Amino acid sequence: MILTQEKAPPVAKITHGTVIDHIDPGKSLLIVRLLQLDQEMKTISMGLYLPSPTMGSKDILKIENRFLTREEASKIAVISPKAVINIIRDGTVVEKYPIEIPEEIEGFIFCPNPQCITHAEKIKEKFAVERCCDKVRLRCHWCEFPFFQEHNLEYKY
Amino acid sequence: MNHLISMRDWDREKIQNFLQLADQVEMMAPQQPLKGKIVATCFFEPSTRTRLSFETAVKKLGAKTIGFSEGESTSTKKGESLSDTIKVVSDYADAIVIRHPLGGAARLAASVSSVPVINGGDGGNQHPSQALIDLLTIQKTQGRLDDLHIGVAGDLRCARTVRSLLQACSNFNMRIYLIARRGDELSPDLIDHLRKKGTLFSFHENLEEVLPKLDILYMTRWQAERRGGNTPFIPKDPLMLKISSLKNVKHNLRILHPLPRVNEIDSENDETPYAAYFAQAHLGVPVRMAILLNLMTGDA
Repeated sequence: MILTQEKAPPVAKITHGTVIDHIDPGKSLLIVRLLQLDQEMKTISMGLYLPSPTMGSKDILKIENRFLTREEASKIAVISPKAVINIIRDGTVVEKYPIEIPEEIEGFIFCPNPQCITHAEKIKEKFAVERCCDKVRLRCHWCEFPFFQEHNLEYKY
Repeated sequence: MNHLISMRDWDREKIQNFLQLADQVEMMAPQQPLKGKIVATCFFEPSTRTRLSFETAVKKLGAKTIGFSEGESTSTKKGESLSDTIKVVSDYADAIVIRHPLGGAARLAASVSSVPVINGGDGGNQHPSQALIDLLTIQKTQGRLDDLHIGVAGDLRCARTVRSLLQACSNFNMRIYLIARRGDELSPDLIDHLRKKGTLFSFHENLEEVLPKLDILYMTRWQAERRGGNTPFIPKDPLMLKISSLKNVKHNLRILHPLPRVNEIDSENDETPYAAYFAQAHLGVPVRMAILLNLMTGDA
């Protein structure tokens, strides 16, 4: 059968692994780097800025033979709070859940406040996470500085 | 163990109980309730009122002080971390008062200290003991904390006293007027906080138009040091309170300022019945006595 361009899926299906759908557009590369998926030599398929009836535009990530932990999913929540995790086994979606926004996250973002003590002392960054309208707002545990996840944040890879 | 780090950790009941203690604490002083104790004042930033009033409070309660008034005279100049400094100092003292130029320093100190830590000001973040002084002053001059019209004017963006005061005030039924030049307005997260707490507030650039409505006017200075400058830079058109502005004010209006002032309150105002900023500074001692007593003996 010849697949026409219109009928070919934008990102190929996987047999076993994780599909992260409804990623904020342009954020999938960041997720790959943050979770260090690029160092695991697993097959990763990525769709960037795909049309989405609910979001307007979205990314999608499909990782073969890799099952994300809940802790890893919570990191994604800060970058892309509307993301949905699909666990695939034998080509079938066996589990599907929206990202849970954690109450607190540690260690993978630098506080964007240049006057925060975390830039002068060797202490673990810690942030309270709260929903603010449709967005996720983080507040530094130490300096109480609040910021949104869309800010040009510096991540620890 | 309890610490005093941020007004975010305080609610209405806790504030009211504390102010009751602060009102009575000077009567307890003759008993020397902290005799034999040592309080370390670790000031990495300049201070007049906060450091000296804490030291006076310590002495009035029968304790002694150790400490420093600038970080340059300590081993932090050799590269020692704040964490190590606090761990060592907390071995020598029964409580620590810390002031530091970086936000979060007090909370870090509390996380490594084996004794209570009191935040004397951390960067542009919090100054909780000042907020408690401000509330006691308001209570004493107005007879209450609810149903008041409070104007907060000046550098709302960078002043840590404003952050702490507004978080404290949001626990009471106060109508807030936020008066600032363009660019000095209150940060969005504090505005959000006031909204969530149900506080009624409004924004203004003109001090004179708001003055007749106020019971309390809280003035703050331009915070050059929070903007990366070390000189007392004064903007071209600062918000200033002139004596001529006080023509149609309420008779119970009181003007507060955490001090130091630069030029935002003309000294002509000092002799008017409205000036309460020096009385406010005087209350620094009993409030800080109450803080020390509360944390070091558990009395509340």
